[in-house]
Amino acid sequence: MSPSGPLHPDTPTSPIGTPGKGHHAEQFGSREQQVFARSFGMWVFIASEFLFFGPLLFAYFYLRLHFPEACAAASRHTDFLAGTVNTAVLLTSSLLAALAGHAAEAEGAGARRRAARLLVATAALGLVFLALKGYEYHGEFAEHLFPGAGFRPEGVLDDRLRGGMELFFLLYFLMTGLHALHLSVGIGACLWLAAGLRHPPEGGADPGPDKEAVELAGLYWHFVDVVWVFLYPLLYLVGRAGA
Amino acid sequence: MERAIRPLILTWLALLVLLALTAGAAWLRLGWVNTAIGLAVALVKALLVALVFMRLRRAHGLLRLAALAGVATLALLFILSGTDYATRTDVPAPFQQPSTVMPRLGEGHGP
Repeated sequence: MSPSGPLHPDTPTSPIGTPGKGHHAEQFGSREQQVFARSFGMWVFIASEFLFFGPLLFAYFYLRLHFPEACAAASRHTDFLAGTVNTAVLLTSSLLAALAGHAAEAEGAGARRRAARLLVATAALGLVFLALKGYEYHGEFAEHLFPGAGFRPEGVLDDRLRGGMELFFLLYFLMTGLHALHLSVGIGACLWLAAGLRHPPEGGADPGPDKEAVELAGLYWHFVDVVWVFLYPLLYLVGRAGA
Repeated sequence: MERAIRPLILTWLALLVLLALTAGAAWLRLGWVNTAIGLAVALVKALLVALVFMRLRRAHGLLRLAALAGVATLALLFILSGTDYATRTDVPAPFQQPSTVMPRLGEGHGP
């Protein structure tokens, strides 16, 4: 479906996300109700996403309780600088997503272009994050830190310690991988939305950007940001002060 | 600076200051307090993002309830699972070498 294709079959003249003012799909009583239903649906989705990441966090909790030394030793092998810079990159991208939501509230073609630019900038910072994450993964593969038969952290002779470290890195790759997957979806959503915003609907006055669609993409982006905010201290900051 | 975006900028600055705080504190040798600081700062950062960026501060009650339901359900599952996993004594895992695992009953007493 093209970015400017119809969202609802019953509103064929309304390009996606830009139904005329006051219009609503037939299952809703009013435009306000439809807008609220979209936000509510997004929040229910985000709440279910908490539970998607939850089991991994619980596995981490179990590992920290039973292998505290191994967690500290393994965490010292992660790239502190890259993780910290990536956190700053993601927090900044969240600001840009919030600014895009704010820009989309204004009327007219100028607001439409401004929101599109901010969304592209948000997605660009997401790509910077993924690139840096890939660089980290590359370093960890080179140091034999990927769990499996080749797991050989340097200078670790104790079997129990190495086993715990392997479990830590299993969770590290699962958590950061799942997060990167979510971020990729967010990047796609931002770019798709920006592409739709750059092409105003044909004919008639420009109704301006669809602020609800930008708002919903922003909600998802902020959620992915919040997940990383918790992953950062759990994966990168354990045992930094030394054994 | 445009008046309406000032809270967004200020929140972003606060988030970066909190990041510097948690990254710096991790290098002090404080024991379990390190973990407490890391999680407390993460909680404050998440609340800032949720309340300001995700607009929960002025959101309809039903939206706040949906967010809270997710957190509460996660907490409930942590508590219920924790009654087992957090209190269970350590058992040897399959990855451990035989030499590090306690001998089983009846082994090592052969002729």
